[in-house]
Formats: sequence, structure tokens, C-alpha cells
Amino acid sequence: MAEQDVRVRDVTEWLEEAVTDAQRRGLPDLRPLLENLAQATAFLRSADWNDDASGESENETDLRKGA
Amino acid sequence: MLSMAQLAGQVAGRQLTVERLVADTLARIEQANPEINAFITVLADGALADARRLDADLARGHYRGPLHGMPISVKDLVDVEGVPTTAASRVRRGHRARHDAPVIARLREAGAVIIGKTNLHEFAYGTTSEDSAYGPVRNPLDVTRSAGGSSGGSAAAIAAGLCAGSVGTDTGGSIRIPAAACGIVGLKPTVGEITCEGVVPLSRSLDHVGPMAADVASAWMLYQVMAGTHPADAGFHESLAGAREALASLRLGLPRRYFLDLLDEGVRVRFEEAIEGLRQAGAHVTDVDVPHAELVGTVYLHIQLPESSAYHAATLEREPELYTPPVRLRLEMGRYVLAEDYARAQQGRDVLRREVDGLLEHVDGLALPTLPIPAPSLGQATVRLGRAEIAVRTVMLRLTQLFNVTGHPAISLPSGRTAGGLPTALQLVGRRGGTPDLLRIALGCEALLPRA
Repeated sequence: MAEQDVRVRDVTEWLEEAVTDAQRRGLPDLRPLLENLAQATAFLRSADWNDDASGESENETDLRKGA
Repeated sequence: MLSMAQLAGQVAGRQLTVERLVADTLARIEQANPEINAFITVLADGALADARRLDADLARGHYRGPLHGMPISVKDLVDVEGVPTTAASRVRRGHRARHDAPVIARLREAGAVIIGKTNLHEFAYGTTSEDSAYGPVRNPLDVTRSAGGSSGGSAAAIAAGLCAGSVGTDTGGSIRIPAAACGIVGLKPTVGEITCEGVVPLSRSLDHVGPMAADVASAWMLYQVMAGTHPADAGFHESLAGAREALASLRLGLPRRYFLDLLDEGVRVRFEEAIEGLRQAGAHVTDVDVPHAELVGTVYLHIQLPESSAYHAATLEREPELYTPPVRLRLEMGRYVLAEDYARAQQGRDVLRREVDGLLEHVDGLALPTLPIPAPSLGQATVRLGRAEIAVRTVMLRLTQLFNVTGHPAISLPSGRTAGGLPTALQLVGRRGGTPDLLRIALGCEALLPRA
């Protein structure tokens, strides 16, 4: 997956709250940094090492495998 | 200035007194520092007093080893007894270190003369050494350019001949990046190999301390003392002698995907030339792949941001106006990272460490450029690489931060200059715990590479 193809989905609400909080704290210049962070967070959450507690998807990079 | 190995020979042979060496170095600092701003504090009186004592030691037959009398600078993030550790920030006004950091005590014991504290990006939180309460560091090779960062003052001081070596720190590339920008050598050892005690943290799990010098042999001499192993130990000179011959059996891995995707054309040309030179010397170079390479930046970010913000939380609340605005904003950004994302990044760190370990089971080291671009202009915010317009900070960290995440040792050495006359650098990466082996490889490669 290319970095630029990642779209913010589940972090949208987090971003809105963070931007609102930053403005409340007098830090409006934080907005573009938080937007970049949201992109990076969405990308992190798309990684195949992340777990799914339902057990429905197997974690191919489970570090406990073979340990 | 001569290399540390050359100076050490002259001091040991009594052709050069330590006092003369230190006095000449101080004179050069006085002449050059107003322009390049490499030093925040110059310890002239203490350095001259130490020099006289070391000359007296020599006269009595007490030679401390190759660092005897070598003028060494220290990034102003590391404690030197009785001297402020400013971290290039107004937040640290009034600070004075009560003790030498252990790494400084080891250097003194080995005969090094601490000549001054060098400028840096505020709290080591940047790659250009521009955001400093003491003004920007200027690259001595082109004063309109950044010296890289965050250990920019250390690199600039070495490149300008204002010290024989320096103590730097590296959290995402802060030793290797300025080394590349200024055309010198910078070593980030294996994580934990050199103690970070007495060093202002940026990100406690990513921070490393390491040496910077004009050449690999000098960096090696400093590394051995900083790590607690004396250069006179058996094996050091044999290692130096055998390094060049070892190239014929060297196996190097080239992580092309991601790491060579975005390069300035001048950097790419010098890198390919360096690899071809190593091949012709007998090295076996094969392409390798880090499967999750494209996630390196985001893993790094979600570890480094909250670790930095945790350290600064109290002062961000109490006196935020004392930070430079860009550093304050980055510190504030880290306060919004969720704990679950920090945990995801730590899991990614384990994945990446295992992937790099796996590659190094089949090759002796990895080779890649240190910096995708030559030293940027001061004030430059973005850089165009191909069709992409990317933030300078993001680009400068792109090839170095992986090895802070995984803890593998990595060294940057000069590989020539671009057509525009700016230094380029080769980065070599070794096995965890294998820093001496990496240095041996670097020494052999250095002999084949053009000087910066």
C-alpha cells in the first residue's frame, strides 16, 4: 500500500476532537501537523501486524509464532 | 586540521605539545565560529589547563593512549561538569551540570580535552540545527546551507577543523544526517552500547550516543573509549590492518525498494558509483528488501512523538513561550497520540527489527545513502523529488530512522560531492551488537570512496 493512498477513516473523529482541543488551547497552528499525524495514524492502523480480537483475521506477522 | 590518528602520532612522538594543539584549535574557533556558529560554549581556560596537565603527564611518561590531548567537542545535550547544558533552548536557562556524563568522564580519563559545547537543533528535535536559541548552525562548506541536525554544531566544527572529534546523539539520524551534510564520519552504535546517562533525552527508547570525526579510524578510537573499551586493547590495531583486505569477501545488501525510491539525482549518481567501486573491489552486492519499509516513518513517529512530549510535558505547561515555535508545535502534537497507537507502533518496531535481523543473516551489512538530498538551504521547508513535494524534515529522516527503531548500528561516511559541490554520504548498517565489525567494513569502504 502506498503512503499517499491511505485515506483517513476511523481517525476522522479523533482528528476533529484534536483540532477543536488545539484551538481551545490557543494552538491553531497545530492543525496541519495534526492532519499529517492523522494520515500517519491511519496508515499505522492499516498495518498487517495489528490484531483483531474476534480471531477472524490471522495476524501473519504474529511475533509469537515460532517463538 | 590533521586527522585524529595523525595528531595522536605527533603528540605521542612529542613533536606536538597538547598545549600547542589546544591553543591552535581555540584560535581557529575564535576565527571561524562567528560565521558558522558551531559552538554555544567554548571552554578555553579549562581546555588550556587540561592541556598543560596532559603535557606534564607525558613528560613523566604517563601516556594515556591515542586520545591523549585530543581536542573534543560535545553536543550541548550532554553534561559536562560545571558547564550549562543548554540543549540550545531558553527552557534550560540557568542550568549547570553537577557531574560529567559517564561518556565524558571516560573521554577525560583517556586523555581527551573537552574544548567546548556545540550548537544543535533545540532539544535535538530537528534535522537542520536552525531552531536554536543561539541561532542557526551554518554549514562550513556553504554557509547558506544547513549543517544538518540535530548534532549540526558537532559536524560543522569537525568539518571546519575546530576539533578533532565530537560526542553526538542520534534519535532518528542526528549523528548521521549532519555527518552526511558536512562531509564527515558519524557512528550510531547498537542501541544501549554507549550509556545515555547525563544526556538530555529526546525519545528515551530511540536515543543513542555516538562519535563523530573526520575519518573512520578516528570515530573508532572515540567509540572504543565511549563504549568503555580502551583503544589499546588487543585486537584494535589488527582490526585496522585487516579491514581493507576484508572487502574481497564482503557481502552487502542493497535495500532498493523504498530506500532508493526518492533520491536527489546527484546523490543517486554518487551512491551508484560507490556501490560499483565496492563491487570492483570484490564485494558481493545483492538487492534485499525490508517488507514493511513503507511503515518505518509512521512507526517512528508514533514512538518518538509521545516519548518526547512526556519528557517536556511539565515545561510545556509552565513556560511554553520559551520554546522555539516549531519545536513547541511538534512537542504539542505528540500529546495527541493515543496509547493504543503507541502500542501498535511498538509492535511494528518488533516486526521491523526482526526483518532487518533476517536480512543480516545473509549479508554482512546493508548499504544505502545517508541523506536522500544534499544539505538543504537554511530556511528551506520542502524539497521536490521527482513529482513529490516533501517536507525537508521528512526527507532527511527517511533513510536513517529505521535503525533507531530497530537498534542496529549504522555509520555514515563521505562518498564524494554532487556536481554542485555538496557532500554525499554512504550509510552502512551492521548486525546488532556488531559495531566493531561494522567499523571494520566502513574502514575498508572508506579507502575506496572519494573524500567529501
